[in-house]
Amino acid sequence: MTIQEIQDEIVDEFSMFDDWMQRYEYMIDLGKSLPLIDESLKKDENLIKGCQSKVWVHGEMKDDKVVFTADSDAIITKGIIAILIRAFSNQHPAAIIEANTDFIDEIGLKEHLSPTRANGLVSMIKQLKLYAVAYQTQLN
Amino acid sequence: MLDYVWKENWLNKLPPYKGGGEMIDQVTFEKTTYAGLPHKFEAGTPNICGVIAFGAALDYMNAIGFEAIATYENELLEYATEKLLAIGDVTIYGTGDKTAVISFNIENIHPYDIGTIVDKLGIAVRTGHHCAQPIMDFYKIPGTVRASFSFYNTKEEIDVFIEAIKKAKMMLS
Repeated sequence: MTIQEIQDEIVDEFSMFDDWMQRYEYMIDLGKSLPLIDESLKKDENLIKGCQSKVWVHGEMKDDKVVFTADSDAIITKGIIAILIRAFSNQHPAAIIEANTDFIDEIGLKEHLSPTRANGLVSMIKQLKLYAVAYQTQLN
Repeated sequence: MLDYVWKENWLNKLPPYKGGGEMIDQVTFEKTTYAGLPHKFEAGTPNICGVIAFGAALDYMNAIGFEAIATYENELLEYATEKLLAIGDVTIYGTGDKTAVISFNIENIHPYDIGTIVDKLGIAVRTGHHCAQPIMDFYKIPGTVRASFSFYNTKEEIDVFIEAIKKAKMMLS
């Protein structure tokens, strides 16, 4: 699936819920299912700055695709990063660089986060894109 | 008195950092002189509303009485502490003589997660390290949830707060 198709799928899933408590419950479930980052990668270099809870993200190249793993000490934050990783992991770096992030506004995620969490969300996206830029440079 | 004269000398030498109404004495092309102390440092319209409101707030609190406020807030604190501990898996940080604030965590749940859920349920608490990182390091915790109660809060509101915490604990465990 392309990033856009996955994003549309996520938007569809979120539209099924009537209220934000259900959406949070869903995000908590997503957080629990996040493919965990290797303990050895939970180091300061992989910490995302701008998040009040700790978030580690690691990206590596496998068959010309960037595979992301992540973890956080807060479960809702884990749910947020799980959504992002679902959209961006296992994709060609060029596709990750070009991808828009409109789906975040469409599912209303940002407006339902506290300002510090919304800033953290922006930092997470930036970090995923930075990995893609770095790996794209290697490919060129 | 000496202290005052000493300070006055320095304050007279200190240039104002902000211009505005009521802080000017004379303005000519040659020079500008400023109003006397303390006016030269108080540019523009003073916070009239704020001063009046502060007076009204003090009258209001005096009418109730500080002793009555302290007694009532302590009652709220004891009530909330008891209810919170009854939920289970709750650690309260700081249990000595204190004002009506409870800093706590629920086992294996990040304080931000609790704050996010109870916020959705209409409860405002503070989460994080409260600018007190050394004590967070001491307890080896990322932060706490902190609820505070004032004399305008009620036991019914604490009941709503407790229900929200229970719901958050259920969702996040």
